[in-house]
Amino acid sequence: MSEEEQQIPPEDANAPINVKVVSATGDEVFFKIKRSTKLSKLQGAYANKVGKDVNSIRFLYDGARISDTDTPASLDMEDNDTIDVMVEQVGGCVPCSS
Amino acid sequence: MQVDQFLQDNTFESVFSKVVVNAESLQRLKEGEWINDELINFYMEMLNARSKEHGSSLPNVHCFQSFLYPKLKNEGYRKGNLMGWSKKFDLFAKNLVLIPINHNNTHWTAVAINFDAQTIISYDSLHTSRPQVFKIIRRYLNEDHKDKKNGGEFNWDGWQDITSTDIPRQMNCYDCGIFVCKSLESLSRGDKSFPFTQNDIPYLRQEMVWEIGNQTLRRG
Repeated sequence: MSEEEQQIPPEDANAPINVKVVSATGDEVFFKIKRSTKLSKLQGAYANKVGKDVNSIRFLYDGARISDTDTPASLDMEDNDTIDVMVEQVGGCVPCSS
Repeated sequence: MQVDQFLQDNTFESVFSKVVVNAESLQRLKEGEWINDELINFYMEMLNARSKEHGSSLPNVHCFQSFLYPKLKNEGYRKGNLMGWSKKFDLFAKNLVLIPINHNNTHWTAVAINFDAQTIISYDSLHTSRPQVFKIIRRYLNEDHKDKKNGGEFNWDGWQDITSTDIPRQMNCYDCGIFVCKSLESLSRGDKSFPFTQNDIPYLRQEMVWEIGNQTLRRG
């Protein structure tokens, strides 16, 4: 889909990188984004694609939450890195019946 | 009082280490409500920050977010890409590693890896034994050790798996997450006495509202 081959020197600080977004059920969505692009864009695009409210899902990189102002550069992300998507967890007790 | 103000503010939002607690999540601290990952993980980040601030006067602690366990359980170390979760610090140099665990979206427990005492202790306010937790945590330590220590095997000599009977017992069907937060708060200060009981939970729920609203732990 977004496979335009661009001749960008690897040292270019703003060369786009490939990012894989993986859901809790293992579904993968691939994005190509610039290192300076806010990840909130990717988060919004992902939520749209899977039909979820962006506020109902949590995005993590290396086990830490991603904030709206983070960019691949600010998180030191590398090409082909993975972002995990997790959904809300709740708990109160184990139901007596189970 | 400030607690009521926070609870009544429908634009409430508090952010700590990028974990966001909004008004909807905060309402879950009201009596009788189940709590969610945002409240737990916000609390874990406050414990991490306190441990860093205090240097050697408190145990060197790392609290993982509650998403570590489902990644370990459902995907495993490699496929779950968990190498990066401990790349910015040496997991094996910590005194204590604390991990909140959600079970089937119905129950919160926790596990503590104590590298000084060589114990893996499961803390469940229902005092249920959790053999699978030990299995998954041991596998995690094996794999992370190999990844971080040049393929070296983790040495399990002298290590014990323990199901805590010290954690105060939950007497209802909704407070487990508060037991987890307050037990881990206590452990992260090196205090194993768990100075609370079920009767204190209504107060501790309010205390958590205050702590999250002010981004400050009561026991600084």
